Amino acid sequence: MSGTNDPNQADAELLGDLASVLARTDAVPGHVVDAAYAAFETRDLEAQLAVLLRDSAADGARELAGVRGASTRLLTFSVGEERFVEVDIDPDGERRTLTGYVVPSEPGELVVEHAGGQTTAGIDAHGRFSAALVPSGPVRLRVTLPGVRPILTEWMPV
Amino acid sequence: MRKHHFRGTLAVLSAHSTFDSAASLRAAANGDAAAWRWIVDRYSRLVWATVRGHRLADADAADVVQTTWLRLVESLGRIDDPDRLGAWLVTTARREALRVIASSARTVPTDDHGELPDPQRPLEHRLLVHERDTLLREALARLPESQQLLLRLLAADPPATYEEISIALDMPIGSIGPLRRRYLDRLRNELAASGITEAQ
Repeated sequence: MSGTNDPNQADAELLGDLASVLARTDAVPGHVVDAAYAAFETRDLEAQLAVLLRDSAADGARELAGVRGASTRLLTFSVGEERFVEVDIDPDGERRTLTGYVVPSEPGELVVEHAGGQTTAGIDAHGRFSAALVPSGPVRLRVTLPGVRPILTEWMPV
Repeated sequence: MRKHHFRGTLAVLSAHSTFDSAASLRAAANGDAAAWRWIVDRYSRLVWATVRGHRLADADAADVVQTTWLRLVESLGRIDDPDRLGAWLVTTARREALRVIASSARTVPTDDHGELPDPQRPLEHRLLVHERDTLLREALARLPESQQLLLRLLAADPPATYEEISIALDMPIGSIGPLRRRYLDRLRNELAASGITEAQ
């Protein structure tokens, strides 16, 4: 930081100092970069994407849940306008229990993909599922139903 | 001949960022893992800077960064404007950071991201650098979040372009220069308040 009367140069120097400090002391952790490389392996060309329709945490429904003393978060995903996946996220420390159902209701299989691997659960005749002990962090749900292409929800941190 | 070649390299470098982002996205969409690594290497510091600008705790910051990359993988082949990958990443990281802040009780805001001294350096030098680093980071942490975010994006390696910032932060491109000056002034004042002046 040499003294200067030129404000442009002074700004460039201060920003340069900031860049150098952040590069030295707040570099991207190696495990974060490694996870980013590995993210490529989640590429799936077969499945159909279920996009997030609603996140109760983002639309004020959380306050209502709070009134009831619950801390559950509800996510709704949809494939087109004919198929939906509803998921309740129930936190317990660093673990999550995911319960929900698919609409229209059909039996099938659910796989929750997460940083620790996969958690598999059945989908019963009423379309209901429950997966416990899912680690917190980004997850997606792979829903396999008879006669349709596998459904994959968008990745969501839970 | 050699000189000619050198000029050619410079011309390629100047067009480098947009050309390679779009080409790498196309290649990655076709399954090219090396192209994916190029994208991560090119943009991971920018994504990190975006998330750090939102004062998330370490574990949440890592989750948001990973969610951003996973979303890019699931969006491969569907990015509207591949030339603006940087803006897409910053926008996505920012949205996911805000989502985690809104949805999570486990988020503990932190201004102190653990820093470890480099054991290779002589102790005395380390202490001086360490103290200056700490003061500058503390000064940054005292700025409002939106100001920290802009400065972190400008201080990333490579820095966000004004176009990327304009898209991702939804602000007119002409306002970024004046804001940059104002926020750096603010940072300078915070530093002065902590006893460090620029002329030393």
